[in-house]
Amino acid sequence: MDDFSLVRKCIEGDTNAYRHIVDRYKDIIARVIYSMVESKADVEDLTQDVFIKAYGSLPRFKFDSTLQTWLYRIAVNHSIDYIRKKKLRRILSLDGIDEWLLGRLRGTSYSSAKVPEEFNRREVKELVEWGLSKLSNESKTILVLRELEGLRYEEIANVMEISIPAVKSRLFRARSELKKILTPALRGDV
Amino acid sequence: MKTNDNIKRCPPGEDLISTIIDDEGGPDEIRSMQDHIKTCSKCSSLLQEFKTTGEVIKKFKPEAVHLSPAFTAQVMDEVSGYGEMGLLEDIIGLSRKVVATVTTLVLILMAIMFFPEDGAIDILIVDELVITNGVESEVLEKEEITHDDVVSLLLTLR
Repeated sequence: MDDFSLVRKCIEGDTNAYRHIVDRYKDIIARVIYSMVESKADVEDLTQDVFIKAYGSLPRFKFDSTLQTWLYRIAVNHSIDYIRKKKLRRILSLDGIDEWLLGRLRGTSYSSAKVPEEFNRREVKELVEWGLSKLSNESKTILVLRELEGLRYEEIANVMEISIPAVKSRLFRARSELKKILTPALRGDV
Repeated sequence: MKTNDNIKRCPPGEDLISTIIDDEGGPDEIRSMQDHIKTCSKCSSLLQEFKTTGEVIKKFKPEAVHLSPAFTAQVMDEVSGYGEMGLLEDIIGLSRKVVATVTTLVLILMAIMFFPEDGAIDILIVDELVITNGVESEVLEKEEITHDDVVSLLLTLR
């Protein structure tokens, strides 16, 4: 059964139809959330939140995008909220005086924080994970959607609720940001 | 930083570089970029650097996340009572909005009634208020009091 029919059934009160939607998209949504929050321990709870939230908002879903794009939007926004709260908790805790905060206190940007020395020995996966974790939420979101999820500009525009020219310029900014972070490590300058 | 400055001085670069890398451009845009990078060494090297970074990212595939087998059932448990609860929450939410709106309107009406355009207020009203609360204020010594006086008095009473 296609997404449109499933959504209609859900709105009509057939909760079983929602089971099919959850089964169809749970892995995709969990993967996006994992790319965003980098914490496997929290992925299941966050994914569950997304599907509960989506169910409540389903009557307002007008199919002006695909169901997957709409779910992406909820997942991305929920992940960003989670990251913000987590950062706040880290700052408020004693252990939170970390590289990020020190960078801020010294007046340097988050993205220009120094690459740890042991970094050269890490694998590409860790390199990219580390690089993504240093990006702003906006840059991270757009790179995850484009590079990891392979979304087209129009879909990204839908998920992030921005125009296509804004997608282009934000992608450019995100790549510049990531390049600045990764280049020293890739060149072995550290 | 240097790179960003360079691009600011090279407006065609920003949009075109993303478009080319992501294969989202039409033939005209591709031709335009090819012409541009022939004459712009900054954009040419930036395009190459972005490609390299992009290749690294593409090698990174996020690990599959294995949700627990009970995941769907847990979600369904959560949403199963949503129909009734959702409706109840909607009614409560609506009631709260109605109460908040009515309260705001009453306050606005009171403000209009008690604060005439010339900023003066009947001393008796304030006098009564003060007596009720058993607090004296220097404001009472004035024959006419202003909006600021009332605010100050009310803060004292609190």
